[in-house]
Amino acid sequence: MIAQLFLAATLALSAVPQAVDLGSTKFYAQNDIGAQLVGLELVVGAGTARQTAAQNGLAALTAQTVLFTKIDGTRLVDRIAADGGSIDFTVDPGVVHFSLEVLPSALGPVSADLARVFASPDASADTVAAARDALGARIDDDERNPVTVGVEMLHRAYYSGTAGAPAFGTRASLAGLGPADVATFFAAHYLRGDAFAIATGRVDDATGAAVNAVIGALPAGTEAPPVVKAQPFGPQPKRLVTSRDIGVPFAFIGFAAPAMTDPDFGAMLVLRSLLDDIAARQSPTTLAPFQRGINVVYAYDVKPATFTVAINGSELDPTAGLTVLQAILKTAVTKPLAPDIIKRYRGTARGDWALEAQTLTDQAWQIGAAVNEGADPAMAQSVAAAIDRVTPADVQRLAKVYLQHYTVALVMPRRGP
Amino acid sequence: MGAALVLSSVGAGPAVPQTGKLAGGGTYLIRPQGGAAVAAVALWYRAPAGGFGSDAIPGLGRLAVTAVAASRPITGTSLSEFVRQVGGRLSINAYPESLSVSLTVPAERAGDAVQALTRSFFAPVLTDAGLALARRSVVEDGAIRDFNHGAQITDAIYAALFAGGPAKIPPFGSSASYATAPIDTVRAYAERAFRPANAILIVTGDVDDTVISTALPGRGDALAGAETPQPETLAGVVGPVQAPGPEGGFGLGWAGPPIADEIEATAFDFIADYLFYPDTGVVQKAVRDSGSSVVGTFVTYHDPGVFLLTSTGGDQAAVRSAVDAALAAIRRPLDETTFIAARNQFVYHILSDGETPSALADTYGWYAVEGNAAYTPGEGGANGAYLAAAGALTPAFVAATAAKYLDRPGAVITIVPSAVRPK
Repeated sequence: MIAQLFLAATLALSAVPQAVDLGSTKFYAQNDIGAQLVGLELVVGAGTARQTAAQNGLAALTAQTVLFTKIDGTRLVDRIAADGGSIDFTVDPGVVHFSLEVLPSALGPVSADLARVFASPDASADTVAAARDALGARIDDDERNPVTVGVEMLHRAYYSGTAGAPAFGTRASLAGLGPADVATFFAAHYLRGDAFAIATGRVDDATGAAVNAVIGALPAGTEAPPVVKAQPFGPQPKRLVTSRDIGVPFAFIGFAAPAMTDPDFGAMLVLRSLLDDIAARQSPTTLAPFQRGINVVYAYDVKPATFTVAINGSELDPTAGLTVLQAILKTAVTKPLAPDIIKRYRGTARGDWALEAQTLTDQAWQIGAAVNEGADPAMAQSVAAAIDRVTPADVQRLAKVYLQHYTVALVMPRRGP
Repeated sequence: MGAALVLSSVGAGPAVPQTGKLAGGGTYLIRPQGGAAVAAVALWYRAPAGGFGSDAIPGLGRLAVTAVAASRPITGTSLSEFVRQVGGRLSINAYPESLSVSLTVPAERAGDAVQALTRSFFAPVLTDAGLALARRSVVEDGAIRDFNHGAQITDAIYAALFAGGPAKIPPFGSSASYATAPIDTVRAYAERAFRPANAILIVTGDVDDTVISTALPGRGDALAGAETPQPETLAGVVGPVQAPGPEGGFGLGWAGPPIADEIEATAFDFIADYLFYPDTGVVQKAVRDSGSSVVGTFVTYHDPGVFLLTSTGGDQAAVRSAVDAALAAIRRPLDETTFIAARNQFVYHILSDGETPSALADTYGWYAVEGNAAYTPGEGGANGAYLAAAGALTPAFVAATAAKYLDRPGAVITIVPSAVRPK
């Protein structure tokens, strides 16, 4: 009670993310008294690594079922919208993130609704079927995006077991999952002891009360963290090929990478900025990802992390792109890059990192990612200094450790009839 | 009751913007924000997209602003190169009678960004190389836009709705208009449009008001005074327009309230949100399985505003049916429960869409250049003009405002798939 009373006053003094004492509930907050919305992220230990091989998509189906559970005849997601807010979720190997953003006045009723649903989700056949349909649409969207297809192929090859399963499963796999699967998965993995929350934006006493209500509604208990392991790379690069209804080929090169808590994280961000820029043509305005020859997808929030270089066939011939990339990697491994190059991309990396999390939802996600890896919730704020310390020797060491082994995935246009 | 709770707790949170005069004329507005260590710095100008003369060149404004950003002065780097080196983002937008160039940078580089932006635009240098790069860039932007069939319908709506004035001229040009615009014409446009006295400098994000000290004054011999809005002439009653296109579609457009009529303009923002906001809009929900892309919005211009919607692809008959039903229904008052939920969503969308420094800078810039910065959505919290207007809306007022404007003549565009011969 005392902690709650002093919550607003304490947080108002600093916009630095910090742990807040709510008793047994794990809660982290970054206050911005000028914000006009509250961002709230709820993290539960119910990611894809909790699935069995026969349960591909169950983590997402369970999360979607939570959003579609009805209260007084209206789905949770629609009640939150009517109160002045929105909710969505993402699925990682280890956890599911529920991202909520609401008007401050709506936090009370919204958290009460969320608590009711967490206390008693509706895993009826109708609700699960509706959730399955909604996930199917998201899967279809992902299937039309060659970058998502390529990254998921590499993740399946990289991680052992179900940790590498596609976030939403497949339409075929979802068809085999039913109400009993959802109910069992929820009961087993939506556990109060493993859950935590992050608040951003207009945080005050009401936020702490809301978090206590929501997390307090989850079933009591805790379980051992899921096992997320990478498979060893072979002596030769593995090559994966698939086809989709796309106009041009895309190539992907997947590497192991340091997670955000690793001392090499700053150096990897510098390398990311360099590779993102290396094939970008000159342009007066900032190019969108689909206009760039190379885009790097660095999934640093999962340990072990992945670093995927995507070559966009509409901007750069994939074969030429692979050749250029291999040349760069060979150079980086053989000798340190020139100090002026590293200096330039330290600057770029600082900017890229600063701009990485601008919305309340993204800020909460970044804090949650640090906490989930056992780091300080304010860890993101020390990354710029880590980038400044990166030397050419660091990048060379990084290249030797992480970039000599990789898997190649190709997403080709489907041939016509 | 619910609405009162919502609006009262939106509260007096946001910082009060600092405004003032720039050394070379023009105005500035600084609106600090907490949260991310990011700053957005933007210059907005009132300037007709097709030029100041009687012979409009579609896309001239976009070409000029892009060329200046790409041009390297005798010393130093181009604005584009500066932004790239600091890991920032540079975006350019052109509208019928306004232009913007926006930078998003780490907060620690906010002062450098203000200096770089004012150096580039307050004494614009336009080189052959910069113009060549700009031509390539705007042609590519146009090619990308060609894939957006709704954008082409939007151009047709403006062309049908207006008989004269800047809104008649599309802000995007063709490859030919970009290629043939002489450098002297582009330079003359830049020197008039981008003069300091015509500028509105917006700075948002993790900044304080000292950042303005880094702004450069510009040339002493630049024209004084700011551009004033040019009159728009409505076409009045026009017949339906039919044109071929790569896929079926249609567009509807009406002149709406001016920005000065805050309560009516807010009512139209509410209507657009209630009917067409992605995922939550009534029409969007109704056509979710139609395979169509539907966009509807109210654009708050100086005078008049424009309410428009476009639909492309999929089952166009189903979309037209849903749209007609929704536009008929909105002329009648919503029931109280539906209205309150819709207004909660509307206020949430307004605040969420303006959450980042760059989005906030764009919002302030737009409302400032259209002549009513105090009416910027979210400005002043619940006590500000915009949210106060939202709080004052009633079902009866929304219905009456919809009927007032939607019963007037509008533009109707029908796109017939190219394989089908237009009537």
